[in-house]
Amino acid sequence: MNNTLAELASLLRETLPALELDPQADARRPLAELGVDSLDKMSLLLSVQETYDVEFTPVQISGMLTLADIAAHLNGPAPLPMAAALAVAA
Amino acid sequence: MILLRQIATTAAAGSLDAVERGRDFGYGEDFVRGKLGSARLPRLLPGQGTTTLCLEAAAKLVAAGTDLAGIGLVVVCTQNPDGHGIPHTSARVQAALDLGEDCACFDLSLGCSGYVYGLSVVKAFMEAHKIPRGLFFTADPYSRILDPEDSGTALLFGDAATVTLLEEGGEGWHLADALFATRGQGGHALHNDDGPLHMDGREVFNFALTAVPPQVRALLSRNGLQTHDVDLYALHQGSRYMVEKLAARLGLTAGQAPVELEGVGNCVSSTLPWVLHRHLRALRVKLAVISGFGAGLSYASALLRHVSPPPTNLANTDEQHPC
Repeated sequence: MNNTLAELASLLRETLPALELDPQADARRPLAELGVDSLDKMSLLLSVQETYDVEFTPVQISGMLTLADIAAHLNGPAPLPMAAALAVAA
Repeated sequence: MILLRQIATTAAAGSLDAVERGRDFGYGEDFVRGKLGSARLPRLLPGQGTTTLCLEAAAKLVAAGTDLAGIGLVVVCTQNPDGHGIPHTSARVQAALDLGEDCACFDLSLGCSGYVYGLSVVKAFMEAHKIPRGLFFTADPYSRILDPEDSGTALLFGDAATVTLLEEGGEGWHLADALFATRGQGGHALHNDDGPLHMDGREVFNFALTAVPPQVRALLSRNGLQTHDVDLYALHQGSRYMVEKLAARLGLTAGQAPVELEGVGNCVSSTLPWVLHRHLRALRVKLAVISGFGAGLSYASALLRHVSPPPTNLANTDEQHPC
């Protein structure tokens, strides 16, 4: 979990280089509170999808309000392989 | 050789204060200006339409010194024709401009990839049928299909039009190569099946960021070019954020991939000629890449190469400056 949070923080810094972020302390702070707007969140999630080769459903994304939420999807049973997610979406 | 010789642009006379409207959606001014790209969005006034926008663009072309005599082709790219589409907009424009009967006219139905497709079609049509002068219009007033309460689209699009003069010979830019692609299974991400426009912003964003850079790189590669060899990248101006993210993925500088959204917003198939009009001459561009993407999901990229007139034409002081 901690490694995932660190990786997510790194991806988020690529999207928002000026963002000051402590992966542990800020893991459960709402992304919006950290200064991550809806477009930055889209960009972050695209990076996550490409990095981890996963696809998120709209319902999953709507529940991803913090870095910890995203990490939980990556570490738990929630994330689907991309092919499976596409099949579900279809 | 058919060349892109001159471009004129126009925006609708009405306007929406995007900053003010953004507050209704909970968006700050920084977001509207810095992420979406324009504090003001042009909107059709009563009495304006797709045809009148085209005519205003044509008037600017004439005001810049272009004589419309001998125009043998009018093509209009739009997904929002006047009335219910009959007669086609290009025929309405031809009539209003009194271009004469020896003039082929047809419309193209494409969204934000339309300029790349249109340039290719117009060039090929003119070459195939020996038409020395043609006009290619883009005019897609999306305000007609926007839901003003949809925060995902209401602050993106602006009503505008452009016209590109293509001619045989002279000085201008040659469409040297192009790549076209369609991800039709994703078409549901941008549609107006029940009237108003619906856009799944995340799907369109992911599509653009994953599809466009490989296409542009493939275009460069098959022409033996490196990224830095190209002076100007005119990327579809979906939003400032989109342009900047695409430019970053392509490893471009801000100067190579300008953002031209202020005062016009995302004007669909008009964004690429809008950028070209403002930068081809100013940057003395020798090589340009244009890339459009959107509804379909369609994406297309092309290489424009500057061509100088033969030395014998240099003394011709009547030669128009393109764009």
